[in-house]
Amino acid sequence: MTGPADPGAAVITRGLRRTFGSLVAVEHLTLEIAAGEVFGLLGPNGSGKTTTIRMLCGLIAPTAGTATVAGIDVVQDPDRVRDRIGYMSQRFGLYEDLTVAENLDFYGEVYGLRGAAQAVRSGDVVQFLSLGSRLHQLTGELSGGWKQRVALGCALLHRPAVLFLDEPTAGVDPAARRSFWAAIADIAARGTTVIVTTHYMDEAERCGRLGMMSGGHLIALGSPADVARQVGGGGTLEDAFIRLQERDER
Amino acid sequence: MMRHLRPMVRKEFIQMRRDRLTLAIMVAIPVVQLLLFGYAIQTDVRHIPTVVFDDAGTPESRDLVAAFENTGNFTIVARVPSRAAVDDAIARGTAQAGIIVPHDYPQALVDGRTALVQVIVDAEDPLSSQSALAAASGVGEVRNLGLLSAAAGRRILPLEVRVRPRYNPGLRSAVFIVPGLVGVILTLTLVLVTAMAIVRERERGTLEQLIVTPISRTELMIGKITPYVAVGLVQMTTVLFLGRLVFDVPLTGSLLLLYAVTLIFIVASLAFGLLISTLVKTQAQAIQASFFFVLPNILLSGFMFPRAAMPLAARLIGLALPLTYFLKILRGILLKGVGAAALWPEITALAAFGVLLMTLAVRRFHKTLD
Repeated sequence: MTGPADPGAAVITRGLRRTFGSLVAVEHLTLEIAAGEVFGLLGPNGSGKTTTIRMLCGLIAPTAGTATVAGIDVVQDPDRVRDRIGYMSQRFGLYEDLTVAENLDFYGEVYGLRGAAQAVRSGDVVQFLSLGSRLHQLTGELSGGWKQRVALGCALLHRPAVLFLDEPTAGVDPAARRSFWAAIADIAARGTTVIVTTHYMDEAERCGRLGMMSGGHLIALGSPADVARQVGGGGTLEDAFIRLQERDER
Repeated sequence: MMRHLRPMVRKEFIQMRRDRLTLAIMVAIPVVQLLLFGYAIQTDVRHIPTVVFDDAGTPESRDLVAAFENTGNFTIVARVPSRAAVDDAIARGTAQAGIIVPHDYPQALVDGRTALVQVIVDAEDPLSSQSALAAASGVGEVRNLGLLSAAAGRRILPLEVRVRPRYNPGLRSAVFIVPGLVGVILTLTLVLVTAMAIVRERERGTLEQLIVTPISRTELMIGKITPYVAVGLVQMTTVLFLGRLVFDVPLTGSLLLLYAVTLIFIVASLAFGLLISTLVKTQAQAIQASFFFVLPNILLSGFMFPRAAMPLAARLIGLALPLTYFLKILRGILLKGVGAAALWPEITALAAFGVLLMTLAVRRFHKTLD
């Protein structure tokens, strides 16, 4: 992982590190994610997945290392990357006292969309995620699955090059999870790079490539089968994950 | 540069409209405060319940008691049979003043001796006892003057001091309080609502989603306060309108100047609220910090208590409060009708507060989570 980086890669990190006081949240993270990939970050709670995503989105500054997202150095220039990325935080982040349509309008405009262009993009997203019947409902009144669809919609309006999803299906029922992942596959098929964290094994299996994190380190990288082999010692991905979780919590 | 401002302002207006309770409180506060302060705060104490012990019971003594009553400061509630009964009435609180006319009062007048009349005042509350004390000595002086000039055979007074109370000739406290109330209400509501503004988004988790967007921190801050500028102007208009209608408070000077300066004060107050919002972690802390700030504003700005009477330290703290300057401007424009030329030091100070506080708030707020 120290060879020359592909300049067209969606994400390139070198020696990324972040500490919170004496706690090392992420260390020695060197990673390259190609454009159009569905890349899963897998790992127990506290393994550094969310910190990694937040650094890549420019939400927190790395303590050391470099990171390039969609060709922009996020350490040097976090403001310039914002137009090119979409982000869904772990905690639902839309305005619950606004309707679905008002949230879509707000985020569309904040991402610089106006007039006809905004109407077209908004219409696309509404159709793609089947939000039509919910448009005039207050966002706070929606179920968990619908909230996540709306949040995904708001993150897609400006057609980002890279989409970051931090545990997008936490607290969502299985049927809604399945349709959410169908949407992720469609998004990637259109050329958007998707970086998603999860601790559901069935979701991890759907990723093109996986990075397994533990204690702030990237401990395995590759296809789901590769990762299972690297950390599982012959078992399944789930066996590997549970073993890691137990080890980290000890 | 400000292209992300419009959606931010619109979003804030929609949210404000949906939060009916907060909106109702912001509209109700000026009305309720105005009526409370306007009616309840009467520093001009009149009609003090008074008991009389007239031990002489002659036409002269009755004449004297009537003179006390005619000042309007004393309302005779009872005539009592003894000195002890006067003390008792004051102690129990049924009266706040007692007039005691001794039995030799008429005789002393005839004999040319000094006639002694006693007025006892419950001075527990210095403010309300003051006017009673002043009125009582006033009655004595007027009587003396009449008796002396009669004795000297003069019909023309040798000296008369004419006092002209300007700008509030009726010496009504509402005239003094209501203009100041505009400033107090704006401080109270605007600092509080904006102190909650950023921290609420942080607590609800919406800030994280917002700061990954291209909106700049200046746009975010200005977008946050814009709807409340409108709220502030509505509140001020309500107070001035009702103040005029209910308490007949004059609007002497230029309303245009008044609104312009109020705009500066509103921005300074909102910026201060934003600054609090960037310093605290929870909405509860924001409320506490706001009250910590509001109380000195009410006490030290000159809203109720004259700044001239305060010790130096309190006066200096007052100088650090935007409200102190704004009160001078409000009273200057509304009561004295003076223009910008007379008020420029205060206007400059307000503008400086606005710029300083807004800059601090924007600098304090980082578009990161840590």
